[in-house]
Amino acid sequence: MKTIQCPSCGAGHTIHNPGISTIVCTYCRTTIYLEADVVRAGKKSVVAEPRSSLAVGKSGTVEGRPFTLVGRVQFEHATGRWDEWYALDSGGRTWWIVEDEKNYSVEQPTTDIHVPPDVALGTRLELDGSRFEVDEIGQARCTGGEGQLPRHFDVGETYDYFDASEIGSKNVLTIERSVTDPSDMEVYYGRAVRPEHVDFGDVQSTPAMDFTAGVAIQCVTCGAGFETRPQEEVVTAVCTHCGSQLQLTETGLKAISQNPRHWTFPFNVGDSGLLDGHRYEIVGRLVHDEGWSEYSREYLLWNKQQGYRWMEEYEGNYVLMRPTQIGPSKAVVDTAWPRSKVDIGGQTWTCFERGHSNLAFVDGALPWLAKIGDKNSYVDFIDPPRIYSVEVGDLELERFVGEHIDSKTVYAAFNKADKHVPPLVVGPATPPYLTPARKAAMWVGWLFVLVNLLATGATFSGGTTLLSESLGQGEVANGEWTSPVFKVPDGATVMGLKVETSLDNGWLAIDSELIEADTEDIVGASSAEVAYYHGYEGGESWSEGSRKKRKLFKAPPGGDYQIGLYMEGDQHPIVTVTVTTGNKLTRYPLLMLILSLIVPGWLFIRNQAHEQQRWGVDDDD
Amino acid sequence: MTTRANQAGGFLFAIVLAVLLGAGSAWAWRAAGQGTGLSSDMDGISMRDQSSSRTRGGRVYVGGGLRGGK
Repeated sequence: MKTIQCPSCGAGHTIHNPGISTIVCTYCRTTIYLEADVVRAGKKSVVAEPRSSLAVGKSGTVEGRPFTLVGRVQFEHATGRWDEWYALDSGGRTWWIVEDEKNYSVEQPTTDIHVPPDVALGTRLELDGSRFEVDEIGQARCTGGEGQLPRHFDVGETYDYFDASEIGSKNVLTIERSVTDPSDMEVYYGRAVRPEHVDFGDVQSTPAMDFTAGVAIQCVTCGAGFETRPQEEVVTAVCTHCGSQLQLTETGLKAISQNPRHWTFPFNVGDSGLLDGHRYEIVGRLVHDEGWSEYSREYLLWNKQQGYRWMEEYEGNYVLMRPTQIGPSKAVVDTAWPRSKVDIGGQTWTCFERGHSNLAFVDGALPWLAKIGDKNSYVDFIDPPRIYSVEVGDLELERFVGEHIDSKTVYAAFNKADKHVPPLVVGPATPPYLTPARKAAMWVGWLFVLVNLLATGATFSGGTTLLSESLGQGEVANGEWTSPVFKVPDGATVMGLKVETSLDNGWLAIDSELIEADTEDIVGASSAEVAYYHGYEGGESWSEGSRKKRKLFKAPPGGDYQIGLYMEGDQHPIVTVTVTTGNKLTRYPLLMLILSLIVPGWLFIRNQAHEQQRWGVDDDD
Repeated sequence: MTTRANQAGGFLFAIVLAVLLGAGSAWAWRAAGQGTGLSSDMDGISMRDQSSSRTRGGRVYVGGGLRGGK
């Protein structure tokens, strides 16, 4: 370890790591640069108090891995601020923990990735075998630092920067390049970490910037006083009286826009509720004008451990969303079409809609700069009940993933169960009508539809032939015919008598008798008319009737039998008589076929209507 | 009812449906083969009671006898 003295106040500092090149004096806040063996004093560095539980000197864990924070640099960009914490792990390796609106990533500098000089928001980069999407781009100003750092920073110096996410993973890339010296470029590579996996103990009390207790603000437009809700950072606060959006800057408040009208919401800023196992407080509310008189309401929720969540509402349907670094496998913002498929993180999603929105209303307090008229492009993907959204502003591309929450659950969570308003339509992420149980019932039904369809079809098979005889025209003209003797087996149940004719625009009335051969007793009799007509009229062929007829009857006891026919008609066609046994009645399997269809048919129709309504929301756009 | 209870109820319904449709289909197939409800008479009008006295010579046409065509 090496010790140096502050060139400004003389205070001693122990350097923890040989890579340290900048120290901010703990006592006088002077930035001290270590250049070879020379110690040089820079500007005073007065950095805002930490917004979270992270603080220089503290030890904690990130995804269970221990870190000690030894330095911090803070940057300010067009819509907010972020912190970069210089950290040592237990092995003495150095890392940067980047904190932006309670989103974290752990990164290390790299020289292995070569970044092209010019990139734009949404650009897809192929860098050394990995694919990245640029999701934030802009210019940042260093507002200060503290502790010990391995890099030079000058308070007030501006940097060009862009952030990119590796496609299909949580890996991130950060590039910072000095505006005055473009060759001064730092590239960092790492991975995103969820806020609940960053644990540095409790938030330290920092009265000057203690948003965790809420801050008192006096509106510069109307002079009214109000207080923000507890959270870790506020960039935009909205006056509760006149609806002015106030930007909180280092020098004070600045009015940037005003709500043109008031919107009603079922839930208010300050309401808290237990959602997804965590208690969230509503810290902001927004209304997005999506055009064509379509508006969506959005609540910004805050939980100290979980960070921010976005609860979006459309026509009474709610989804709870959180930021994600995982991007689609291909560019989607200007190219995805409804119902097209895209791979996101190894899973297939369906594009629901894409469009543009304007911020029409905002209140509460937000950790980013928000003013009326802010424009966004968005594209939503669904895999109900999940939803994935990409939003693109001027400088930032953000990705969110979320899930449908039942509206009753939302109202109950915010203690307003008695005011529950059910959804008006099926929302984009409303769960499918076919729950696993309904799906099971439907497949059971379809299975028996198939079984009974096959059974019904099987009843049309002819059975075992006992007699098959053809009658010539002379025999038919004779009017009477008796068949040879045939044997009905013992135990036969159902028999069939089929008469087929060669009728051509004519009819034949047939009386048939089943005759016991030994006694000549008639044990059954039937009358039938066979008629078949056809023709060609008005340019169309037509036909009616049939040339054949079949009759099923209960089989008599086993023995020898004959069939007797008495025929009369306007023609004397060739007639074929067939007697069968082992026939089956169609009516019973057909009845079961119809009954089997009821449940799956009902579920199928309901599901179709559900999906049509879901997509109808989109079609109406 | 909670979602989980709804799901359990739904699966129970699917099981009951499977049992009912299974039993119904089995009954239907058996009834189709046995000709349940089918008359012994070919026309659906029993002639068994008269069959002993009715021979070919003295037959009675059912349903009004031979019928004319169109």
